Amino acid sequence: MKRPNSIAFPVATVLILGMALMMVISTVVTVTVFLLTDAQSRKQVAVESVVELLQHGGGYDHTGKFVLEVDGVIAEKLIRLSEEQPDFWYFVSDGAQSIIHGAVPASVQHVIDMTSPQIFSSQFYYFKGDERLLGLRKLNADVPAKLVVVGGASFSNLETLLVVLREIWPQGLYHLLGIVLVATATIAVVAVKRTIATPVRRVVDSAEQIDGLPNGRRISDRDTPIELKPMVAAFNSALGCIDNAFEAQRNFLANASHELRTPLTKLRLKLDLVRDLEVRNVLVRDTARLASIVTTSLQLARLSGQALTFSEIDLAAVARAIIAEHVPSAMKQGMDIEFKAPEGRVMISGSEPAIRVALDNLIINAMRHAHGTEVLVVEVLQSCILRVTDGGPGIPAAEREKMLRPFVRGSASASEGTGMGLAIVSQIMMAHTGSVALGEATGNGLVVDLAFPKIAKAPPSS
Amino acid sequence: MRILIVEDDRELASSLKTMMEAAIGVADVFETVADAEAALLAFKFDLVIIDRNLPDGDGLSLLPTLRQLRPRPATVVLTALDDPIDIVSALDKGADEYVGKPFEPMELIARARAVLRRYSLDETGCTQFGNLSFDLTNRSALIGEDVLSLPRRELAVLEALIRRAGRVVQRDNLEAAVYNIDEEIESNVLDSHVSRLRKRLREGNCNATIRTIRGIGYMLVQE
Repeated sequence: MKRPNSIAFPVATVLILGMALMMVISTVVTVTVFLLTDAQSRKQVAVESVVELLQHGGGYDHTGKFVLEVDGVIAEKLIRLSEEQPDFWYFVSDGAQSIIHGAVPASVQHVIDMTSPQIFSSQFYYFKGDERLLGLRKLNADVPAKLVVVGGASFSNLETLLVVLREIWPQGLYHLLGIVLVATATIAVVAVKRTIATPVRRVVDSAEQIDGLPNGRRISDRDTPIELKPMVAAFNSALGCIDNAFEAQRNFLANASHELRTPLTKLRLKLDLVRDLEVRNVLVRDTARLASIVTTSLQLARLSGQALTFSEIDLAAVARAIIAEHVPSAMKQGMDIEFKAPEGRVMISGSEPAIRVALDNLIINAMRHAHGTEVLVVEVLQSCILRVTDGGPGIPAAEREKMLRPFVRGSASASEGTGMGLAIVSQIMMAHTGSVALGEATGNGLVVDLAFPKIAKAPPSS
Repeated sequence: MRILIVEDDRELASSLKTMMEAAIGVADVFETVADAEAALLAFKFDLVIIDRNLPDGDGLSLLPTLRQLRPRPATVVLTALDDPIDIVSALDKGADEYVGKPFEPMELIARARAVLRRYSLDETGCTQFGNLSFDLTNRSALIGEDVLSLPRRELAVLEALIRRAGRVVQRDNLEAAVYNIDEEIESNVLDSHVSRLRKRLREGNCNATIRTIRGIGYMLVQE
């Protein structure tokens, strides 16, 4: 599985590993400190631990007999070790019954018998031959009180270490701390992700609002956490630079197109002086193509340069008015235009000038490329679709998608096209959050569907 | 017909002058807003063709002056700026037509003629299209020399069509021109007026005819 590229995950991992390391180090330090203490103290600790074990181990079986039940690997080992030593003995009693292991020296028996029950813990030495041995007597606070007396135990360093480990095992504060921290880290995996991700998400949301228009939206500084402010500022300033470059490009396109129009007009007017009719027609057609490149470049520059102003408009009325203007020139080419629309209005939210540019382009395209079309049918459907159907050769299915990109012309098209008409249409529909679909009409021909999103609320009456 | 051309590009101005003189009438060329304004106040023009980017300002600044002139000349604005918003603002300020550069010479001439026809109708009640003469005051039309007398509704239809001859008149607009607001219009009444009118024009050997543009309206065209 691919590790997620998250900030929280490594943070939590480092926390957990760090804690584990701390636990190991602290254990080692404790053990070392213990081993550095004198032999006498070590012995004392070991014996105390044996006493404690025996005290805990005292219990009763089902017949009510007082027995030793020792749990745990270390405990068993400890008891076994002690039992292996010949001098080791212990005496466990609940007052009524007692368990004895090894030989309790007589002098010690005396101590056991004589010590007052008010003394809960006492340490004593006894002699076995010349050897001075440590004995420990402990009385606990249970009812009945358990008395444990141990003596004659001696441990090697390794054995002592084992004892110490057992001693520090349950009471290690840092172990508890470790558990707390592991839990914290686990929560952090979720929480850190949230706390870091939420402000980042806000910045991302803000970034998604960026509309690509000159001097358009920037990432809002208001919701940005302090840590991300430099990044946001850098990002915004980068957007500013892109804007400037874009602006320069757009201005160039607009100016160039504009400046080309007057000379083109002069050129076109002068062409009327050309005597040779054949040459003249070719030149007029080339000039017309140049002119339409200039016009569409300007349209494209204008479209990408300003936000469209949307209002609720009747698609049928808008389309009818636009088509009416194209009828005379279409008629000159021997092409009729027919308009179909449902009764009543087809309200959409859109920019009338932009829709005009789109429909102009579709009609001009049809007049240029759809040779043989007798009737160009423009339809407005109730489902907010503006459909233009011609009777020309159509566009092969494989080419349709790329026709929506600028400067792509159909393989079958004559030299007249600019290759920008459909790109402009596509861009306009994108701005309307609508779509363009190219299809095939019955009997060849091209069908272009411009689908506008429906207005959510009911159109105003009247 | 006298035409004023306001255009600072001399070559273009001279081409325009040649073109307009061949098609419509005598033309004078001025290069600045100030010169054009002085000329407009001193002489009578029927048609003014204005470019927008002029050395001393926007050609549209001539529109207020033009609006005050009586009789008012027909105005065609010619420009390389063809932003739809620019077009609307020019038409709002009183331009009659707006032609974007570069244009087909025939397009400019046709539009200028259409504007002139409309002006002539407003000024004199008379206008001409092909061999059809239309006279609003006598409530009649002439095909060549022959009088074609028309009922009230058909005259109204013809008036609306001839005002925009060569262009489509939307059905709604035609209905609005022919009927009062309160009149109940039955769905095919307009069609029957149009077809009777069309028949009269054909029988009178008129070279203008009414084309039906399906789903949009009607259009008066020369055959």
